[in-house]
Amino acid sequence: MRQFYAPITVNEVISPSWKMLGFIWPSDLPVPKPGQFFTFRPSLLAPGDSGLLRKPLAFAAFEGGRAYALYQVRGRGTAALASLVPGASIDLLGPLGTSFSLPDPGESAVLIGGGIGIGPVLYLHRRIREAGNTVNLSLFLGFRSASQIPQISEAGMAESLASAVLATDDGSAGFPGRVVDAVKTELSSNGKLVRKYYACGPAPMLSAAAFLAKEEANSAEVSVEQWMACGVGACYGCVVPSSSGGFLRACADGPVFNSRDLDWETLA
Amino acid sequence: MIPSMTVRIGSLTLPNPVGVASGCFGYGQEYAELVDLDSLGALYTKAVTLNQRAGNPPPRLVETPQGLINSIGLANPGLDAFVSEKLPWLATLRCPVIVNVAGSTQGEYEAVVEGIEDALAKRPTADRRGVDGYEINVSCPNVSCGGMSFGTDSSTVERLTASLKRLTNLPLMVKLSPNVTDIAEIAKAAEAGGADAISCINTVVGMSINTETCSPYLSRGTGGLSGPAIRPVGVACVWKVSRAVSIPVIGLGGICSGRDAIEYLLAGASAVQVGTALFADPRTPELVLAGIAEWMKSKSVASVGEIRTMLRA
Repeated sequence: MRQFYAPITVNEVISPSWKMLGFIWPSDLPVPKPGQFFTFRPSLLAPGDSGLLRKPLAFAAFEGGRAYALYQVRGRGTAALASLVPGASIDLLGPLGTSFSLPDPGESAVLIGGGIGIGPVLYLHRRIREAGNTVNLSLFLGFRSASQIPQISEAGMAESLASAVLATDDGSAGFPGRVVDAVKTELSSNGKLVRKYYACGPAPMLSAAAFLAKEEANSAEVSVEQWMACGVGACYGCVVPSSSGGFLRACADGPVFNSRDLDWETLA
Repeated sequence: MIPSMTVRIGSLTLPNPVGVASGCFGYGQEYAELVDLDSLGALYTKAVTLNQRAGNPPPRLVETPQGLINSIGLANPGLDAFVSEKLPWLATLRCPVIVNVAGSTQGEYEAVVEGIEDALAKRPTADRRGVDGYEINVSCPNVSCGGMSFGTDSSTVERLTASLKRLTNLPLMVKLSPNVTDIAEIAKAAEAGGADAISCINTVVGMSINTETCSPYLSRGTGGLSGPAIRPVGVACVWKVSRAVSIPVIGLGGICSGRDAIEYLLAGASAVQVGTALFADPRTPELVLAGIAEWMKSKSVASVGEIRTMLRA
């Protein structure tokens, strides 16, 4: 990990409430892996301004020395980020956290993304496609409604989006209902295959994915979200409940966990 | 003329006045790739308790105007894991390491200091020992037993300080809570018990409520407020305490810049700690130190210790 100023190459609207950020990644730093994240502090905010903490964002793609992330404007930090134009720089710290493991050769993989959590899933999808040795790779993406579905042309995300099974909560596009229900409906004809699940999205979605995997005696890797202060494992602020009692840090023990390691009763 | 930046705390000399505050820097290793640890004035570790503590259920954090409320609950691996896993690494650092000690009974505080003293005695004398002092945490607002309840009663503070002082020759600092009627009275009790310095302040009890869900943001309801929001409270506490005791005072609470640190030093602090600002920018200690040096140069101040004599009425 390193703290550095990253020149922004793109910061564009991809759906009514979402933007995509692209920036130059230092060539001497390890390439970020799907599931990993960075924290940023927009140059508009100096230490001491309201909006004190750095904000975490997950990598959504990496191509040609540029890293990408999808984000939703939710508070002062993301609002300040949204106002930056290409050429500006952000104070960035990364890469942070654990990453998704790629499926074993010949294994089936089911990727599930919900809301703004689709970023890491799109990145993982691209990496698995590139590895080329996964049979039955499927991608499911859930949105609140059709208007939320992003339009992205960069870094292989369009290809992944085009191949995805879409679900919307309000039924305005694709499968009407929850994305994990779309998974169950689409894959039920395949019988109880051995497959690996990967999920990133809101806690109820992760919980449903973890439950589905458990029911089928399959494994699942999930990426969790939690309020975060340091992002490097020092402050113990961003914990999630562990299945073996106690807590795990989303930033340093995660954000990607084997779903077995988390206590879903208290988490979701 | 290069100004003198060293600070004397009991038998210990800090290379510069800017340390990193307990709870905000883990045990140092977490920040090793980002911060030049050897250049810190002091590293105050996350609290060590006798037994491992899982801490409080999440959510543990909420941001508030110019501040952060936390309710971590002294999550830490416990004395044995600290000695076996953290201490050998801390001994490789060149900066002074101050271990923050917490407990829910006097016996627990004593057991932690004794346990660390035993471990230090077993280390080869030629090695750096890994611990240069203790900061006694009698001010954590986020535990149901012990913590702040120790630091709100002056006779308890004096008794605890005196009992720990007998267990070690290393400097003992007592970290005080602002959540008291008269912080100067508690500071005097710590001094009477033999404390070598007073750290103030720990966090201010705070609460934030989500008006959509009508429930508190934090699992325990209240937490400890830190960050720039509490800086004026910290400066006032340092001002009061430094006029009540003759031992050094270490100021903390919302320091983000050299100017912020100078306020504390003018109020009477001999040294400072940077806490919450580390989360915004891990380079803050370095920037604060540079800011202090620059200010000293502009005011022709020869040593950092002089600053506390400069406050005009």
